[in-house]
Amino acid sequence: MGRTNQTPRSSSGSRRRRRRPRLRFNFGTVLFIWFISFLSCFVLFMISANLFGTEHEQIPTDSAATQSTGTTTTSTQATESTTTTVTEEPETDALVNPVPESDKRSASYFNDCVFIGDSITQGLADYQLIPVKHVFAGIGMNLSKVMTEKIMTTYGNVTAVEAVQQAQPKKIYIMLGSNGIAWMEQADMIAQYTALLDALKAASPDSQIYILSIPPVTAERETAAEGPITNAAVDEYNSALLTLANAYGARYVDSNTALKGNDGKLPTEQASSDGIHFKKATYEIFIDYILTHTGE
Amino acid sequence: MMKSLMKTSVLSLAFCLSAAVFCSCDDGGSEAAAKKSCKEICAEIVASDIAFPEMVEVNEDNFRLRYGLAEGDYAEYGVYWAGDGAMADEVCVIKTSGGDQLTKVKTAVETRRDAQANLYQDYAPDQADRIRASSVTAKNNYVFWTVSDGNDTATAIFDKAFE
Repeated sequence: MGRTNQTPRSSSGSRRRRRRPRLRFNFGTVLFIWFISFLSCFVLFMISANLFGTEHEQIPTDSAATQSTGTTTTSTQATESTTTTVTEEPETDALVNPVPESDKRSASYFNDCVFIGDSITQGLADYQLIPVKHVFAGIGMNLSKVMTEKIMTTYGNVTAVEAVQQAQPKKIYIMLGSNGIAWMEQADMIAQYTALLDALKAASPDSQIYILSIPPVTAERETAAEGPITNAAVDEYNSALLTLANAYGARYVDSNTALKGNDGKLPTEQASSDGIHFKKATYEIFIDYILTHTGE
Repeated sequence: MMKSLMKTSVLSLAFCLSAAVFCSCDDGGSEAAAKKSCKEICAEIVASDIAFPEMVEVNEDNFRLRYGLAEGDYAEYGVYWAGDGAMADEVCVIKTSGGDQLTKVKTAVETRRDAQANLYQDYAPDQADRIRASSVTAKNNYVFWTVSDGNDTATAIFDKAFE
């Protein structure tokens, strides 16, 4: 009896076995696929980051780039990367007030300065003429609240004195009095100014303090219906500040004289609509005066 | 051997293409982006017929300090403000990635607006009124705020940037 239903075998005798295709996991191949995928993702990420990641301006922390509509003034810029023109610390003159004129310092002079004041001082930061980290000022600041009112600084929401304590600057410029001149008694103003000086000395003992004179106002502001301020009153307060500076050992910078016109008033075209605040070009005069009256 | 290599190559290519598509996905969501940058929109508003005082294009240090925002909180910004402190005029356009970032930025701008109003209240009440009359709006992952004598005109310019 033969096996008739069976598939005949090859006559050659060799067995040809049909093997079902087997899926083999070659570790090297898998690793290759993973590597190519990772590389592709990384390249795409870097390309997209370079194309879209820096559209907005990247301004170095201490540069003061300014643009204003309709003006092409070049402003004094303060940058910490600027190479100073002096290689050693200049000698400080003996205390002479008001600070006399001296050689103009470069903008890097402001690198170790801070400015304390009201909205006029804040304009230095708002116009980006002085880096914001050096300006401890606030809208409406006056001598009655400078010791208690917190302001927005790069050291947090702190008082001006607290900010100075953290900053430990070499020079502290103070310009206060515009807010209050119309309603504050001169004796009270001097007493509060003295308290501020005491607090600053305690917070940063090695800092040289500069008292900036209260700036002039326009003729229109002198006769304004609300809150009129006269330049005569401003001059009177400034005399008291000079006396205070001499008594305290602080320097007195009479920037008021650089800003007033021949009539003893702030020119209207240099002021904003309220007759007190400055336009940008006025700030540049102001900064230039400071840089040429450093007492160094 | 060749077949095996070809299969491997095809698989690799398919995987890479999938990964490329995935990586290039816009994380701004499906919201339409403005056809101009934030700074360009602000510049157009400031240069328009609206009567502005002397305005300053705000650098990033100032922007972050005054708005309480840090790197990574926003995608792009554009801010102009009056430099002299007497006027409260301000123009602000901030692009976000949407979602929580949009909410955070909108809150930050509202906080800025309210803080400015409080500061000006005793000092210049008319400016405080102008600030309080302004509104902070969100559109397509953008936050927009302006204090000016032509807020409607400014809003129209902002809206037009998306057409």
